[in-house]
Amino acid sequence: MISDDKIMLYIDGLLNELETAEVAAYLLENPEKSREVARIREQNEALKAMGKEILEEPIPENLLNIINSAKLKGHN
Amino acid sequence: MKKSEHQKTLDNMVSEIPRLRRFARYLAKDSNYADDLVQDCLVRAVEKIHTWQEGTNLRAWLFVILKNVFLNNLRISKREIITDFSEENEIPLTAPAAQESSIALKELNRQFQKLSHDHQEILFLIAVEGFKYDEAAEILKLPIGTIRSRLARARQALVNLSDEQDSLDEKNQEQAFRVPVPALKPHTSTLSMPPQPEPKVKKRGVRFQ
Repeated sequence: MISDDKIMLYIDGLLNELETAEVAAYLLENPEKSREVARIREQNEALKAMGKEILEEPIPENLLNIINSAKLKGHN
Repeated sequence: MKKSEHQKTLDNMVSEIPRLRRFARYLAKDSNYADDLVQDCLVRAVEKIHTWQEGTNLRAWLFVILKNVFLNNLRISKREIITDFSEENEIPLTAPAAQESSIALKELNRQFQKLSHDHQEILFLIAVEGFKYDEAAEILKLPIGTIRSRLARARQALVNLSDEQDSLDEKNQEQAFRVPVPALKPHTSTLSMPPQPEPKVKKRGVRFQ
C-alpha cells in the first residue's frame, strides 16, 4: 500500500528513481488509482492556465511608482 | 546589503507585480481591493528590503508579505465580509470564453470555486503558481507534512467534482437522446451561471443580502 502523499510526490516528480519505480508498479496493479493520477495530471495542466490573463495586464502606474520612488531614494 | 543590490532587488520586484496581482485577486475576489493589497504589500516590501536575503526566493517572500497584509486588514480595520454577487464585481480567475479551450477552463474554474478555502489555496500556490512544497509551507506557515496531505486531498476533491460533472453530463446526454424535442446542449445552462463567489471583502463594507 502506497500513501496518497507519496503518490503526490510521484506526480510532482519529487521521488528518487527507486521510489518512482515502486509507485509506477503499484499503479499498474491499481487501475482505479492509476486513473486518478491521470486525472490529476490533466488538472495540473489546466490549472497552470488559471488567471493567466491577469499576468498579461499592464501594471498600474501607482504600483510602479512605489518601486520607482524607492529606486530614486536609493540614489540620493 | 549594498545599495546597488537593493536596486537590483527593486527591479526584480517589478517583475513579480503581475503574479502578486493574481494572488491578490484570488485572495480578495475584487480587482480594486486586490490592487490596494498589492500596493500595501509593495510599500512594506520596500520598507523591509534590508531583511530580504539574497539567494532566497523573492516571489515567496513577497507572497508572505501580501498574505500578511490581507490578514492584517481583515483583523485590524474590521473590514466586513460582505456577500456581493453583482456582475461587475465578479472577477473569476479565468479568461472570458473567447477560445474553445476556455470552456474547459471555465468549467474547471467553477469546480475550483466549490472547493474549500484551504484546498483552493494549496492548489493555487502549488498547481497555479508552481511553488515548491517548502515554499508553500513558508507562505502558509504550515509544516510540510500538512502541505503534502492537504495537497493530496485537494487534488482528489477536484477529481471527484469533475467526475460528478461528467456523470451528470452523461445523464443529460442520455436524456437528450430519449426526448424527441431538440434539447439544449447539456452545458449551456451551467456555463452561463457565474461561479458562486466566496464572501467578498471590502473597505467600509456594508452587509448586503
